[in-house]
Amino acid sequence: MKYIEAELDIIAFDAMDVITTRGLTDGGEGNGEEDDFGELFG
Amino acid sequence: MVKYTYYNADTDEELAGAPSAIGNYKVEVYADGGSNYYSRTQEATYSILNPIDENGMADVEVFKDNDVIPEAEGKTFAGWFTDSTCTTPYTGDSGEAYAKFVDNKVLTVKSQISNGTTKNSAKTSIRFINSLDSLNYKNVGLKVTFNGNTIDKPFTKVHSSLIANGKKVDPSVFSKESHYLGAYTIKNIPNSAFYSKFTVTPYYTTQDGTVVEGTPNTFTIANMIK
Repeated sequence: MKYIEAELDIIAFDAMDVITTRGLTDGGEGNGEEDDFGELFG
Repeated sequence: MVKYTYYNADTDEELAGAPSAIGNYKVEVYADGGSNYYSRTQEATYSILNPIDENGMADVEVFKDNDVIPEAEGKTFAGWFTDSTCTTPYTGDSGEAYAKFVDNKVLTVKSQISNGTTKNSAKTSIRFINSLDSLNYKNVGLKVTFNGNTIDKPFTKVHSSLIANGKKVDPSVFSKESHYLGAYTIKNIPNSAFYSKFTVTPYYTTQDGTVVEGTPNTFTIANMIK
């Protein structure tokens, strides 16, 4: 499990594409949630 | 005369009376001998155990009334259900139901930073990812603490997979029981915050309304830069 966690950590991302999106209560496509650091903690 | 005094065995806090909630306890029994016998104090510890039977059923009221979340070794509670396969949620506050549990690794959180981030980058983004075994929850979310401030980010959309740097991230990186991923990105993090900690606690709300928190994890962007 240590190996798997480390492996995920080093996969940096440059795309926010979602192959398939399903909702807990409502499906549909999306890119995950995102917020601006300054608005949250600035 | 015999006097019973009850304590929480974990904190040594004295209780008002005999406890009924699940937990570890100590009882102190004082027997007053009067004029003919010695007085004596005796202690004993005991536990009130998780009252879930071998079939996974329990009296829901015992847990709801005591505000206790069911526990199992290496597992996380995932809601009450009417059937043993845990497909139909049970939303009553009393009566018997099946307690569903998932692998502890399901309700955990991992992170990624933007590709190409260096310790000299002016800004970056961090993406927190958690997992779920199914869609059978009211919501899922993350509590993110940074410099003593905590934000609560609930969401209702989850994903069967994500793309990271051209590679597919499958839910199974969390647990073989994981089938969906939640993703939350915080953008435009200034370089001055690269050495500060983000502490992230994943949670979900079961269909019966129980909020279950998973294992917190702490991330520092500087430590994630390779």
